[in-house]
Amino acid sequence: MGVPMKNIRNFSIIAHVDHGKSTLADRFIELTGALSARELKEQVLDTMDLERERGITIKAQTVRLTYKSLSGEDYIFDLIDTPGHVDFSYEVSRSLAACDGALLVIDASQGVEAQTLANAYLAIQNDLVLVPVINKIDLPQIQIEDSLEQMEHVIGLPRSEALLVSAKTGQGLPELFEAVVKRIPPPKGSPEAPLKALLFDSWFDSYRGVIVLIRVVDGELRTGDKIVLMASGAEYEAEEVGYLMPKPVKSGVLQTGDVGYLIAGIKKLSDARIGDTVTHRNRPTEKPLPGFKDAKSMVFCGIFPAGESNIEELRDAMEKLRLNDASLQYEPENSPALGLGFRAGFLGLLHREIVQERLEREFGLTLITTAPSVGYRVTTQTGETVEIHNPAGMPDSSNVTVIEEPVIDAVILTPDRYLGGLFKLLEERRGVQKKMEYIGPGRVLLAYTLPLNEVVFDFYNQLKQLSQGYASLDYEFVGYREGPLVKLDILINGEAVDALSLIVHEDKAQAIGRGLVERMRKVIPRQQYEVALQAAIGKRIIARETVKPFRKDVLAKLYGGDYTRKMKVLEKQKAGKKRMRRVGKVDIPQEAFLAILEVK
Amino acid sequence: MRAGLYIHFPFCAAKCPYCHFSSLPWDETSYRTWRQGLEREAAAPREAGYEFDTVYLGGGTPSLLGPDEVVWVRELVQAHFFLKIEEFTLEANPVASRTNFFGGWREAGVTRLSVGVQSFDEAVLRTLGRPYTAEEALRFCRTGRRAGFDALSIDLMIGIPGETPAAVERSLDTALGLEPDHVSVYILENVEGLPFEELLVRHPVDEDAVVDAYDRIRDALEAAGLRQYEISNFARLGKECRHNLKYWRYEPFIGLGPSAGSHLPGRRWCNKTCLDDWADALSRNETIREDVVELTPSLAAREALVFGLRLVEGVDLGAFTERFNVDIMALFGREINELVAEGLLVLSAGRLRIPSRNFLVSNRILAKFV
Repeated sequence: MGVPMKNIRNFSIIAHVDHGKSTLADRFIELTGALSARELKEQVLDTMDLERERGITIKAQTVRLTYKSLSGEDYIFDLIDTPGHVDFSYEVSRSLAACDGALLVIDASQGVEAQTLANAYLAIQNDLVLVPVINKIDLPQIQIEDSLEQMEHVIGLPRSEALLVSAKTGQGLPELFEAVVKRIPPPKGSPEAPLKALLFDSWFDSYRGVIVLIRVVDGELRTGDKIVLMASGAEYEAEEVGYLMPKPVKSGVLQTGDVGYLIAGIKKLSDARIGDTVTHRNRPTEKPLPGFKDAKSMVFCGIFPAGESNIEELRDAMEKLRLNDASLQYEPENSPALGLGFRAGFLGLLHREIVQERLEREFGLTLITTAPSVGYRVTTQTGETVEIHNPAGMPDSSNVTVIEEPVIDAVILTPDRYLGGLFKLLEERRGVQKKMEYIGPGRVLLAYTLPLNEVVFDFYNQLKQLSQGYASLDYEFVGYREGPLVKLDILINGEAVDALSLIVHEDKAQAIGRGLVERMRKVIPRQQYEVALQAAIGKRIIARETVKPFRKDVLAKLYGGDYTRKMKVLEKQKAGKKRMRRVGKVDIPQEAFLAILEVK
Repeated sequence: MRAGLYIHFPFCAAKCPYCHFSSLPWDETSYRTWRQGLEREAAAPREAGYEFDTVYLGGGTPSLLGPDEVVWVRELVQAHFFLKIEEFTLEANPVASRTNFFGGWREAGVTRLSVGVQSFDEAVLRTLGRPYTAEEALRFCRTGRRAGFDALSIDLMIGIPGETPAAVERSLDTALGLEPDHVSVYILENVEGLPFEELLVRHPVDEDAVVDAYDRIRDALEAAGLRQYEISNFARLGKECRHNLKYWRYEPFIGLGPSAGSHLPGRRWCNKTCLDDWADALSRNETIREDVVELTPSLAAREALVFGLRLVEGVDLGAFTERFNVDIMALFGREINELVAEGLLVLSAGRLRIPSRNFLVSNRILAKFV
């Protein structure tokens, strides 16, 4: 490209969700002329409908931009996008490893929030130069001062370093571009040294196979080079290399400091491990890069076909989905109640929702998913320790010596006027306070240790409700902790339904059992016969509710002109309702499987 | 072969928010369109060989028609159909302005007056948006009763948001006080997309309350000598609606007018719903038939079973085999046996029927046979 290494800037934009990261990225792309505003809308904005609807980035997008500085020099901006939700913080850290700096975006109307902090710490851990950016300064009634103070106080970034911008109106952007040039360091590395490149992202393209993104740390990579992925040991030939601008542009070579794509005939996404080091077969680098751990599944649930969908269609869809989502893990599950399905592991709750929505939307499936659960570590009488991802698989209590549950460190940032409600919530959820600190006028940082299973059941919604949407949350897994946990079974007409079992804290079992069957009574439609719902711990029944049999299911008026319409009504009824599964003689709708999420 | 003749009058003074039948506000131009279309349709070539012993003028609100216009309708069909009228029903809305038509309608040949009262409770009528008061409805029915029709039928509706047990009782008492020959009891049905849907969503009607109201009405009507003969219909002996029985017994009928349904052996269809489309097609000699369903013996047998089971008398399985050349037990033996074992169906003396206590859960039973 004719641009020397000293004129390359590799950086990410990091921010709390909704603070304007994607808008700012779009402005970079638009104002550097890579795409027009119209093309942007069509192409760049996050590729999946789902992302656009939810306004979050799920899959990182990376783009190379050219920029002519005020001094007249040409620069390359490699803008490495990062996902914007707490579930995907692990992916954020992978992207940051390919950067030399990061723009830390703070919404001037919101101030520093939990993920602002978490992302800033990730960047600092990766030795990145942080450029603080206060965004949305076009909004009325904002307190820029508050954001600056919080930034200084909590993150330790001097307020004099902050740039004030509006990604929406473009105000402050020229200064920001110049700051990227001046403050973010160019890549270091030796062009003469053997090739050493970090594989930091990958996806599956149905035409080209696996495409990987790399950051060249040392040396250079040319088309036709024989390469090795050092962790897997697999050898490939570099079929094509180039830059995403944002359309792929073949370059023939990637030089030291470059970020670009590589196509090398890799068949499976699992062969292109994120964090792996790419080097030359004939002149390998001595030491690979440190690499990354595998993303750990934190939340699990059963996924079963319902309605017209069947297990083969579901299997096919899961396989296809995993091609583009390496963090989705699953294994076959055979539920006595629901038959064949999968037990899937997710990075978090949002990830779970996204996977379900994609399975339904992109593959046209009708699904039943069971309540989310976390992974427990169970030690049995024989001294064996097993990880349980499905409450139904919990060994009999007489055989269990220790149950350990996953624990997280949570950081919550909130205006102090909501503290009362949040303290109560955190206490109910078995939280232990580690820190409480005023980070600015009226703004508080809470650090808590919480069992993860208390967070998967509607915690986030409650947090948002209690704080009118103002509190933000970020968390990380810190380990396992022993707890007095019991298995709560749900019986339908006297039969325990495995897919409805839960693991809960002993002290809360009674209340949860009661709340759960009560909620289920409301969502299970009346049936031909009475349906008895019971909650039980072991053999002890702790709650009972009854769904009365239906009494009215009739077409009250039928005349000659109505034949067609009435026949259609009956045909629809015969086909059965979607999103229902028959367990024994009882039709159970999806809502009933997720009733626990509505239990307060 | 005997058959029924239905004539659809598609106009109402105002559209009721819960109604999914085809109707339009009345205006002179549309009315002329309808008359002209009906003339064309009646004169059009059609399947021959039927003797029409029942005529049903339904709608809409056919009581908007004066006696002369009813005469016009009768003479029109007389000119084109082989009629041997034993029952001629006119549907009526109980509005005061029509009470002086009774004599004329009778002279025009109407033998049966079916009054769409729905309720004699003021609040319920308001909820339904009916264009008359309870008092008006009562006076209308009383005058109609005295006018000497062979049969007076009253429609009642239950399952209406806000309808109390007391309101049901009031309606029932008033209806029985009129000593009707026939009563139809309908449960308000939520049809998606109608204005009433919103109200039903905001004020869902309690299932138990509807069922209790239905049971109460059924018991009271039976006690008053009005025997149930179909899920929604009750009559004194011999006063059953012969025309409607043809629908449930799956016997032939022809419908004239927009949206009217027809059923002849081997085929059923509906006319175009929209008045103008229907009239335009007729003026261009094009077909007005939509949703034409060719009835294979198996489909005909299934439909006959589904509609026949709505009747207290049920269906005669032997006659079935003869009529459709289909052995129902061969087709649905397993389902029938299961339903009989559950007490949902009764099979005795070659007849299959739904015990009346199960009528309100009949969809589940009937859905097995579609």
